[in-house]
Amino acid sequence: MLSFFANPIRFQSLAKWLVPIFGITAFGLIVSAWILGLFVVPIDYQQGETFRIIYVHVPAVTVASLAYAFLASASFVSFVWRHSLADSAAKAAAPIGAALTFLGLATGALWGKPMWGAYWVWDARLTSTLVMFFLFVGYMAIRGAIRDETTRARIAAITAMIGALNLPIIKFSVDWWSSLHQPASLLRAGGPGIDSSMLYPVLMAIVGYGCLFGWLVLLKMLTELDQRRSLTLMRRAAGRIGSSASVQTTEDPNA
Amino acid sequence: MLDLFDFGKNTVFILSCYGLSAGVILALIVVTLHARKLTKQQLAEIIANTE
Repeated sequence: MLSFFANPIRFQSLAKWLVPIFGITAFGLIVSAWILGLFVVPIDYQQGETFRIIYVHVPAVTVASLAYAFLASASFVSFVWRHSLADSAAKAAAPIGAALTFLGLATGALWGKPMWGAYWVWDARLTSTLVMFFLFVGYMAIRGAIRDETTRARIAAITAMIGALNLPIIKFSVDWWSSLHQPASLLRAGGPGIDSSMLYPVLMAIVGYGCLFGWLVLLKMLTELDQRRSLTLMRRAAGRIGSSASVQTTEDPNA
Repeated sequence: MLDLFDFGKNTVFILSCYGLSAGVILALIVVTLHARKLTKQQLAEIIANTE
């Protein structure tokens, strides 16, 4: 399966088919979830209206964690099998993951102030999510700092794989340590802990953000494939000019 | 403020979250589509010049 889609032409034909599906689904689900979350869903008995922040905070953080899992998996494939497309996928995922983590932290801070009385506390869940943000930024910094393509891909992949250790810490931090952050209310033993009228828009938003992530990653990968093709064509053209110049030089009767 | 967007004392926090999310998502989309458009144009030019 992996080797089948490692072929750029096959990947391009699949991606061109998937891009509009992801784009339209993302737009439809996110807009619907936000409208439901803002205007339709009933208020929470404890948090009141402020509960509505869940429809932007939870999908951002959930998909940011999935984005890191995707980055680490693509890095693993790139490291072990040296697929350039896997490296390209990891590269594409990093800025989107960083943006979603930033959104998760910022909306969390804006939710924390009215609920906890503070924008930020050095809580295990918040701190481990901040570490994930630094991992995304660090990954991009490493890619920007190393010139050699092979070395860059391998060092970035090792960093991403080591950083994946942070994912279970984020997930279980609320269980392992005494935390101000509420425990898991969606993925937990015994089923989700919120009413279905509030739950479905959250799930819609999570799937919508996931499709947005997939859409942007595919667009970025297609862009990189086109950039590589441009570079190859330019090198080939430069080589042709170089070889014809050398032929002209050797054929010069005055030489 | 419109009644529709009045969520009580924490309205500012709620609308800031939604506004920030919309802004960041829109920025991601614009940057990605702009890069895609530029790359496609560049590739088309290179193909036209090399053929």
